[in-house]
Amino acid sequence: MNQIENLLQLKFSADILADFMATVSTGVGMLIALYSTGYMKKQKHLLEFYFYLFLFIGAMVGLVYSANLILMYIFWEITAVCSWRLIGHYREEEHLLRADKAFIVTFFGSVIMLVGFGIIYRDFGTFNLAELKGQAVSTGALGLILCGILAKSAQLPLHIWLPDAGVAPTPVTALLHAAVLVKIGVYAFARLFVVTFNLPDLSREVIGFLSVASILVAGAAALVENDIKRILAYSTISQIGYVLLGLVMNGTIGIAGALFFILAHAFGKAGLFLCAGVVEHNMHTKDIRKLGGLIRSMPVTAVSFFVCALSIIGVPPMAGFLAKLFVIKSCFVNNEITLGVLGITGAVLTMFYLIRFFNEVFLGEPKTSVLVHEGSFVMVLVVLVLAILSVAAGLFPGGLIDLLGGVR
Amino acid sequence: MTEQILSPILIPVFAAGLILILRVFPGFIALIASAITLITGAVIYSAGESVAVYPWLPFGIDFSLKAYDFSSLFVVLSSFFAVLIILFSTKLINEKPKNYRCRYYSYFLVNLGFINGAFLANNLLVLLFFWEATLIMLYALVSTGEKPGTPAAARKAFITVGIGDFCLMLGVLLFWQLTGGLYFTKIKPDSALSVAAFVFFALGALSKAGAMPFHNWIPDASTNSPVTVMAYLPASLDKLLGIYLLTRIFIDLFTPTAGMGVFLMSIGAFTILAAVFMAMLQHNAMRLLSYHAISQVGYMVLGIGTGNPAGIVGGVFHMLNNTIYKTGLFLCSGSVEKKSGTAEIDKLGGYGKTMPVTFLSFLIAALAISGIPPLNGFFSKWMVYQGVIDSGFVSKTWWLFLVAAMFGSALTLASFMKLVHSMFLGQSEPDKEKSGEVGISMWLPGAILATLCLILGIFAVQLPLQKFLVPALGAEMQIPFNAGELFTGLWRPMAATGFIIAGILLGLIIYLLGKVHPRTTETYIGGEKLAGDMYVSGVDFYQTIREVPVLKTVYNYALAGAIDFYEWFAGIVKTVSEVLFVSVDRFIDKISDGIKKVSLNTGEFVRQLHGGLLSVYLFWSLLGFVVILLVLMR
Repeated sequence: MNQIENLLQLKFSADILADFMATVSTGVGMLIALYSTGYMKKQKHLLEFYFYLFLFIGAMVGLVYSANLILMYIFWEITAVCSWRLIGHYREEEHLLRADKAFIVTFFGSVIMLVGFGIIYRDFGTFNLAELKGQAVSTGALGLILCGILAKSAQLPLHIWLPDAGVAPTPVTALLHAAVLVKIGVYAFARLFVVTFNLPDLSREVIGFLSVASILVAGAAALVENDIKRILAYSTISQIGYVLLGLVMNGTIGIAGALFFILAHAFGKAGLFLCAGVVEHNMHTKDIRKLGGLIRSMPVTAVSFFVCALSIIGVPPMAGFLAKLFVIKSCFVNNEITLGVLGITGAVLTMFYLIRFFNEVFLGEPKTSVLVHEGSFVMVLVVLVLAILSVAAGLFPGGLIDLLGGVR
Repeated sequence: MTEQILSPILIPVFAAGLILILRVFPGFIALIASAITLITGAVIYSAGESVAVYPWLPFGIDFSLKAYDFSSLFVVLSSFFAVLIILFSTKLINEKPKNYRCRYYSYFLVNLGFINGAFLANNLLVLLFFWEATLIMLYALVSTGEKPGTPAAARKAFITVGIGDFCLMLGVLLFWQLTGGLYFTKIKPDSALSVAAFVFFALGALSKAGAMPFHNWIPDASTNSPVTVMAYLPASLDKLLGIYLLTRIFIDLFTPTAGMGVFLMSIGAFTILAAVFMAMLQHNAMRLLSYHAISQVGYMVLGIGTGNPAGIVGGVFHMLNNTIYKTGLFLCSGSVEKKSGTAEIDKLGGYGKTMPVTFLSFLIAALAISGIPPLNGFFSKWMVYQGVIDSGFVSKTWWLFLVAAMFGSALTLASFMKLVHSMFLGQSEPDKEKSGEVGISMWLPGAILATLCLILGIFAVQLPLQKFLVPALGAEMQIPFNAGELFTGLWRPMAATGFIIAGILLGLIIYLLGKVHPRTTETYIGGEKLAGDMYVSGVDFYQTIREVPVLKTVYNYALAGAIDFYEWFAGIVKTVSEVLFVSVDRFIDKISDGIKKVSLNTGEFVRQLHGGLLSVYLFWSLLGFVVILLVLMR
């Protein structure tokens, strides 16, 4: 009896890492919810939409504060259910299939992860994270748990669901990419293999190469695609690769860089998606080849997009610059010169596809005769705030980076 | 004192913010702000060395700025060019809508602030921070052109310079790894890692300066963005920044080795020749000038690559001279373009009569860039040649570089003859309405720069070299100008100027005293008078160079875009991306589809087995019974 109580203990604990993740998720989640009031205006099933939206954010907060693995797993699956319903929100046949794909792939990963949790229980006799601190995790458990993390964070080779999930309403995609879903995987990695367990040395190279593969392959795919949401989705896969890379490198600089990248990516990618949402909302197309010249009709959206894109590329003074720099620096610290150089190559790739995106959509001559106007006030306000946050975080990062370097 | 260091960075940036918020008198505010920046820069320069350190990041990374002779000299120079070009802009773009002007001037100012920050950086990460930040303003400024090709040119500029920036980032990271710190300390490139660090640093600097292979965006931007942007970025500020870093690489970061020198000198020599050959053929004044902007970088890189004092000082001096005359050339061409409405030199001609000040400024600058004594371009080229000859101790191929440099100089003169002839001389343009000099704010910057060409040429040793450049470059770069040890063949500009003036006076006296009367007659060709509608352009003569056997092939490829390194790189990236996309991403997607199909088919098969038919179920029961029996019997 005592043992079962111990197993399913409803125990939460807070530390810097959890506070940071919760703040980022709820903060960006709040902005996205605000944006939704403009975007989803006069649409059906709003009650359900907002129910799942807030359940999603709430489950995320529950997950980051969970003090044992089972509780973490429960919140993990709640977010999976929320994402499944939200991706298929418009209830078209194709959308539902894509939602199923997202659910099945992430569920596939998390079930394997549960087996990994089982092995941990066999080895150490507890699910309690505090008691597991400082233990050496077995390679088998690491591999199994990694499946869940890769599937949730959409890393190679379990990334295929994320580009397809772009059929969701734009606030949902922004939420998935920036605030909650894909961040869960890297959060779990940070929680388990940075803060709690000691990572075996061999795994550093393997996971490092896996994340660099995600950076490069997804970056390449983003350059080839023409659908605005698919480009941004591949971009997320690519950028989350940097977070994973920094965490795997496991030094103070790498961890600080990776966690700061979570913040920079949350602001930047939410901004990009929400700007893309304004465009899609007004133009009713997602093909960048059919868009053009929008900077004249929607200047605020265009400038916000540009600032967020610069942050994601890693151009100073935006937040992404320092984050990317520290992540790549951490590769050099561990003498993984190849990984570092490939990381910079990935940044060049990012530059290629985001500037292509900006050029095609916002510069040049308008390609349709539709009368275009800026998005509604609240939508434009949100994207502007995200752009300003991207710059502000880049200009005054000192204290935060210091704090994030000390999560362990 | 240390607080002042921030002002050349903050004043322009705050002024830019002011312009964007107030939205009144953007040109006036920009002019005042850049002038104040110039003054503060001069104050900092005269105050000597000072260091300011602010807390910035953990891991021991401070926001450290250092003003000393060399860095604050560059702050003064960048602010000076900003003032002149903004002065020129106030007239050039005064017809544009207010929104446009506000954006334009704020980009100018922010760029100035960032560039000053990069000059003053005393920490490689601070340098990288400001260096990469200028990328944004490059893109924004090129985008202010409103032509169909502008977006493509802006993208090309962003990606080309961006690749260089990431090269610099890699260089900084490698250097950080090698030295364990981010401060300017000198290391000896003896390991593979340190050589790589040097190469990536150099690539970063070269991309900013616009040397090959990072040059292709400049000609494209020249026809697609305002002439002031060209005068501001590729002609002056970017060049200042790129050459500044290249010099510091050689003086403060790496001990030069022969291999490094040959690497840079080869790039320099190739840039000089390739770009000047392209310049010969251009039909657009802006494109022609932009190819010269590339070609001239070659001299600076060549000079610095020699690694000896004469070469390095010559390279830096050439950079200063080049920014002066190239900015002047762009601005004067901009005046002509403003008057005539075109920069296609086939359609220009005869503007020398109607725009005398612009013509004279342009002529002086053109002669300076061609290296005609006693103008400044001559002296710095001379020093670069001297450096190349001195580098004979380290590299046996020095004469190749020398020939390339001198030949390039001759071709520069040739192509400027073409430009001067086609724009200002030649038959007068028929349209009289477009004649007349431009306003003072447009001709004054050009005139100031032309005067500087003269002064810096005649008093080259006394004024720029001994007063500013040589002391700024530090103790290792002392050149015994008067002792005559190193500089046995030193050009004496004062004496030469005396001789030239004497020669001109002599000619005048002969002309006045003698009975020489020039005969004036109507223009004719081959004895035939020219018909009124017949037009002879200055361009066609230069087309003959395309008929030279070997050059012909090269030119045909070059004009077809075959040596557009940007296109090469973009093509490679695109191809590799498609391969990765299909072979990895889509492949994994296919596998997941396959798994889905297999499970659906399996499910369908199992479903068929449960069709609800009694006979099927009976058959299954029987089969099960048999299996159980078999097991039990065994």
